[in-house]
Amino acid sequence: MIVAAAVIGPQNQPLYLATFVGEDDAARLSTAVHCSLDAVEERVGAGLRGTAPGDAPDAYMGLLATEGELRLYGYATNTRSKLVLAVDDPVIKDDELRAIFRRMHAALVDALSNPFYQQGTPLTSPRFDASVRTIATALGAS
Amino acid sequence: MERLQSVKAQLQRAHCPCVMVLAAPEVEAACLQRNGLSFAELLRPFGVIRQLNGSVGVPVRTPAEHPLRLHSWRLRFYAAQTMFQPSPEAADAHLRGVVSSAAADCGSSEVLELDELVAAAGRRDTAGATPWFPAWRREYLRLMQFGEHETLDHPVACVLALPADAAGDLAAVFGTLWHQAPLPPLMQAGVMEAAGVLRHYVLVHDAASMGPEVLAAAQEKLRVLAATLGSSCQLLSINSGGGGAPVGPRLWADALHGCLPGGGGGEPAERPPAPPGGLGAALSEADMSALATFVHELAARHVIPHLEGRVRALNVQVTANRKGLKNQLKSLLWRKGSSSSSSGTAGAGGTPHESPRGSAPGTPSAGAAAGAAPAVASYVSGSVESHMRQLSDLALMLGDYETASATLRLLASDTKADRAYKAYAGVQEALGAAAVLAGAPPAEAAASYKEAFYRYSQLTQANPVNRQGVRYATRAALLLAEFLRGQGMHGDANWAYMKAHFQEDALRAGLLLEQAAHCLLALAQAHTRKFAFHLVLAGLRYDMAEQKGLAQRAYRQVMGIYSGKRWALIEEHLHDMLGRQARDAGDAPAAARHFMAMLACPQASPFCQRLYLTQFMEALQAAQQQLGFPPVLDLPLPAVNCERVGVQHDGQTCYSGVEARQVTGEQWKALEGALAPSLETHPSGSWLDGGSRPRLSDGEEPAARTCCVGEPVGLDVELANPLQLDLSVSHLRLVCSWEPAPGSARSPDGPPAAAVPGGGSGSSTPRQQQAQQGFQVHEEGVTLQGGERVVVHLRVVPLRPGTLQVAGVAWLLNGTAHGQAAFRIPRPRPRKPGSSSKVLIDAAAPAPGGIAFKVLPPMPRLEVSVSGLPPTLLAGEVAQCTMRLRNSGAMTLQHLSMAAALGGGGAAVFLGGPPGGTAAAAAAAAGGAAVDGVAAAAAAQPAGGRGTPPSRSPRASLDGALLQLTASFRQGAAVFALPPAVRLGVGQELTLPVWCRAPQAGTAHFALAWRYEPLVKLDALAYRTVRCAQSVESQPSLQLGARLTAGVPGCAPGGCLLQAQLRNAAAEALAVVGLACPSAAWRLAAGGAAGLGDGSMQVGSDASAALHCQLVPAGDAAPAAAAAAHDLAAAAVAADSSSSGLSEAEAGLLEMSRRVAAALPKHLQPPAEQQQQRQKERQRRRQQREHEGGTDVVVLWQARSRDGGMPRRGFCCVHNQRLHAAPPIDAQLRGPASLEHDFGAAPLCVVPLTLQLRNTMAAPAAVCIELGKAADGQPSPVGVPTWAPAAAAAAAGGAAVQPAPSSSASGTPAVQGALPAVRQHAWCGRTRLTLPTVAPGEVAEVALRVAVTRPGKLSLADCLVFWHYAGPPHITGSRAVPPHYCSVAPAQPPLL
Repeated sequence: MIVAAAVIGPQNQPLYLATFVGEDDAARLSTAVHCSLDAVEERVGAGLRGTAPGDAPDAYMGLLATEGELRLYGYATNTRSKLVLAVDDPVIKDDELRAIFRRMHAALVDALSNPFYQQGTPLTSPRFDASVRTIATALGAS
Repeated sequence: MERLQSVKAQLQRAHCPCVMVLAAPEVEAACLQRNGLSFAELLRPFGVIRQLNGSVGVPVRTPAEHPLRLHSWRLRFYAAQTMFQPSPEAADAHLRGVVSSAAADCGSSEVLELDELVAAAGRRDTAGATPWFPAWRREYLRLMQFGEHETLDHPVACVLALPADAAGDLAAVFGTLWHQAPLPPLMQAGVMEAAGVLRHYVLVHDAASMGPEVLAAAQEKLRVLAATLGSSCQLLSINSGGGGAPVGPRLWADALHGCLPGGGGGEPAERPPAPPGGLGAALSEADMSALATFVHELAARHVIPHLEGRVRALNVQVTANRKGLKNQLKSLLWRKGSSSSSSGTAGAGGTPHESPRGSAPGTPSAGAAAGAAPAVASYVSGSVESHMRQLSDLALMLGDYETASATLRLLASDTKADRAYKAYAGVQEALGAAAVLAGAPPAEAAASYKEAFYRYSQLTQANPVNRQGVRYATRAALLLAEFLRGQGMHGDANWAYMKAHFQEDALRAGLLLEQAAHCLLALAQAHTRKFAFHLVLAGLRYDMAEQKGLAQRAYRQVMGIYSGKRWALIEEHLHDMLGRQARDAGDAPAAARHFMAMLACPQASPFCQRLYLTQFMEALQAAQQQLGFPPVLDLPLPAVNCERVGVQHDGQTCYSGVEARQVTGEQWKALEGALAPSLETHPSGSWLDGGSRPRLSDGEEPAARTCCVGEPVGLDVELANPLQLDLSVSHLRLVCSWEPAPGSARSPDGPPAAAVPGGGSGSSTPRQQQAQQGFQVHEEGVTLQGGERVVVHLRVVPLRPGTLQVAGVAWLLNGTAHGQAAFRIPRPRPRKPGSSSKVLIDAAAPAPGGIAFKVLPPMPRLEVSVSGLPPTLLAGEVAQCTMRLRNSGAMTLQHLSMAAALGGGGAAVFLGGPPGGTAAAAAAAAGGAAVDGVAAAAAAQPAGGRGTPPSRSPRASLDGALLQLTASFRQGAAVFALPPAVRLGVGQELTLPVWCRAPQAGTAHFALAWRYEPLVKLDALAYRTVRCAQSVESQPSLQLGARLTAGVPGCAPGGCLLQAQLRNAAAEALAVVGLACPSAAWRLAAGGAAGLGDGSMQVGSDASAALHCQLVPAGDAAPAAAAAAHDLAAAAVAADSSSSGLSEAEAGLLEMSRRVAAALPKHLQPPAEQQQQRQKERQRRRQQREHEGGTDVVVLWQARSRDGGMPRRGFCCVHNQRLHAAPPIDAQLRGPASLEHDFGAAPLCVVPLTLQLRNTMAAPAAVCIELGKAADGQPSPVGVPTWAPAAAAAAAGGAAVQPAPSSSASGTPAVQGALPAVRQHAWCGRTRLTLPTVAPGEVAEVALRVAVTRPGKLSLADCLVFWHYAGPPHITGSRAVPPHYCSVAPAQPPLL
């Protein structure tokens, strides 16, 4: 199941971090997400490639890091925002994660389209939070 | 590659022969007393032989007959009693000491920056960042020597030393020494093989205690001994030095290691203190040379040949027992269980140990299952496995890596089959070393080390009590990681360290984690975040291992990576740990700083917030006690918005209140522009002088803020409480500094003064201190509720001219913590040359900088206040107020002028006018003379103030003549200028009456600006302005609608009827007291307004009323006053605006209202030229409209007074009303435009129609409808004009297809020229209908039907409408309804 979801800004600042386990693990998950940014930078620097030659760059970056039982997956948007999911399920398909990231991306676009949202500040939209939690819960339920 | 060579050198140092030293006590005593060294330690530095036989080297013949040549070699000398592995507890205690000592050496040094770390990692130099790790690693590897499962540290030779003066049979004495000496424990247990050890005999001549004769005798004894024991006998002379400076003290300093309780690891339990001359002080150059020669000859002539021979002998044994197909099969098929292997006899001489058959663990992952089976601890000396291990280790020592690797592989399979995992792991470790030394592919060495690591780890997994496996596993991981780092495989090295740390104790785990972190910095793209994470974990382990210094250092190392990146949870954890460590270390200021950084934690629970606040306060109090003064910190509580600070200073512009500050700056600029003299508003120059918009030149600083001495400067600072707790903020003040103006005399104090928060100095009084500082700061206090955000107005009063710099704010939090914050105002960056972009604001990283004010000398300051304005007004009510002007400055002011804004919903302010407000009162005040235009009288009331006005008093200047205030309208504002003679002295007041009117319901805003000049002008401040604003709630009152109707019966020729419809929307009754129509083209006719009756008319709440009055052209009417029946009515019906019943103030307000109504909406400003042309065009059209007769309609009303005094008075008006030519009853026929009818089936086609009637007048009307009569065929009532327009008549008579009976000129073509046509249609039903009452504005519909006799186009124009208004006004008239056209076509018969 998804134990944490995070949105990282273009300057690698956390915009949103939700944990779906106990609050005691919040610092550990936060650190793990922070660590995964190294892999994100490495892959973005190497250039995102599509699944086939000639395809558009694939925003899904796959497995970023493994911290103990946690597996961190990433997704980079065109605006250099990053979506990171921490999953404790060793068996999860890339296609499933790709779909989850796309739904999260859509929710993020909706949240960032709020004219009252100031770019670079933490995302406090209740609707976005509810969307992310719904997405995370849906994976756990499935 | 340097690092790889270093790894190889380390391995070669570890894989060199070990020489056991057995010295007689006399020899040891001679060495220890004079040199501070044991005999083994004396020899140890010379064990490093850099050149064997010069450059020739020593040839070695391998078992495979491969020629080898050793050019450099190394011997390790250990005392026999120290050759054992110390206990794990003692080793750990020693290692803790090593780490602590190394950490203490660099504990006070600053941590390296991240960039420096990355650069050092790129250079593969990590020792600089973690100097304690190499020391720990060296000692750890040393203490892991002499293991039972490996023969690497087994002695290959033994040096037996006797004193030169030893008596008796030396051979026997040497034998006694060998048998009585404390041999290593493993040798005593039989693990170390003693039989194969080469014995070398030495007679030691102590030159300090023995004479030359002893030396000669010893040489003689040596010859005798050589005959018995062979050539391995030597004489060694030491201590021939004179006790001067030691020749080579550094030799022993590098060769000696730390001692452990109980000894072990090659070092004794304790070492005597070094002699005064230092280590080796008694050794001369000759002694040193003799020692080096001794060791060299020992190595070249004895040890190497001995090893060569032993290797060959062992190889023969191994070949005979384990190599070859036969032995392989025998080992594979009949290898027994390990239970008997430990009991295998040494004398078996190559008999393989029996081990149980079974599946051996094939992969490391299967170790758990394999670990459950009993494992072989070690092989006894003399077994074939022991010989194989000896063979491989000796081959490694001689550099025969091929033989070593082959033997080790063979041994690995055997030990694995025997489940002797410890031995197997040791073999894999040796295989790795052989691979590294032989230059094999890195994967081969890495695989061997990894296998060793896993197998060692299994030992502890199988038996958690036995921690020895973990220690060996860590050793294997260290070797593996070092090799991988040497190969540049830092990611794999990180993996090795991480794997090793999981099962280690806290200290070793911390050390391994730290190295794992540094490996991440050496990657091609440094993983700084992961580095930080691992270092945080290392810090945690250090903290658990009581290595506080290292833990703090690790946290400090990563703070730069996390701080300021908004990862709040991580920062909170780091500061928490650092704060606790600093508090435990007694560093209260540092603890307070770290605890302070945890305070801004809105995400934490209230309990945590309270806990953090409490521990911060406690740490701060401890810090205050340590420091002796309260430290001033950059407190995050409350959160101060340092980038957006509202500045309120009275420089050129002053504000009279809060409401004035809420008005937009553009509006004030427009008002002040209207006040400015023409030269200022329209500066000379052409469009070539500059653009249409102001722009900052490159690098130009914005205009400096100015203030005057004695006038407070206010800053609105926003404070926020991010916590859920209440915060008490006291002593909130501005942090200021002052500097005198350039060129002026500096204050006697010398340096510029500054307000130091929380500090006071000297014995001077506060007033003197303020005078010296040049300013006076006011303190505020506020209590912030949880999550509350407030704006606090902080003030500072400059006391001396110069420059006042406001750097930030300071406060006291909860009565304990002194905090401060510096302003960081984003400053405009200069544009690039040639750039057309706007001025950029560097908002990303605003630099700290305060707000500077240029302090001017004392100036006049006008204070404006308006009193008497009620909180609510009726819409249109004219309220009289009092405006009080007071000069609170330090200089007389003059040239007063005021501008009142027009607009804002029509709210207007008129200055002047006599109290009372009515025309009569105005006439009385003005002596009965008609007031022309706008005139005002200002009543001046000087108040007692400080000083005497320098010229005439305000009263004197106003009393001479009742000053006329002329309002001029400029730039959308009404400007009133006081006479130039009016001056206000210091402290004097001037009271003026003002009139306010809000024409519309809602909130009305009055904005006005005063401009004045000081008596003595300064270049920096030639004039000042005061901005004043008031707002009032306006309630609905009388609503007015007017209509000018021409052609009404009874009107004078050319005149018209003015019909005013009133509706009282107020909650109270209003009395209409007058109707005025100020216009140049019209005037009220004699007779007054119908409806006013005796001059006033009460209109109840929510009631409507109508007023009617005839208007005549301006030149025809009789004087209105003559026909007036009532005073008010007479005034109301006055012929011109000057006698319209309006007071001067009301007339002025009416003029303002007219200008507001005439103002065009503000659209986008076109270019200047087009705008000018459009302005001219608008003026021309406005003049034309006024000439055409547009007029204003004004209704005066009165309401009951609020306090029982004079009734309230007001007026409502509509502007620029035109004549209406439409009939009072609007009629229209509606029906189908075309239809089909089968005249064969039915001869008549009945068409339904609807007649719509609308009463456009404000009075009810009776309407009569007649059908079937043409308009021109009916006699018009006598005296009643017909409303039938010409167009209607033309339409009625001009319809070519209309077969109306009266229309002889038209007809259908079919009947043209024949008999009069039969009527094409006939109205059905009654042809005369009467509607008794049609309400004002009502639309009445009458259903009609008409029968059509034949197809064709039908024109229904024979419908007349008559109306009658009972009055007033009494109106009767008629008109023809506009025709309705309808096309009737015959229906086609259906096809059969």
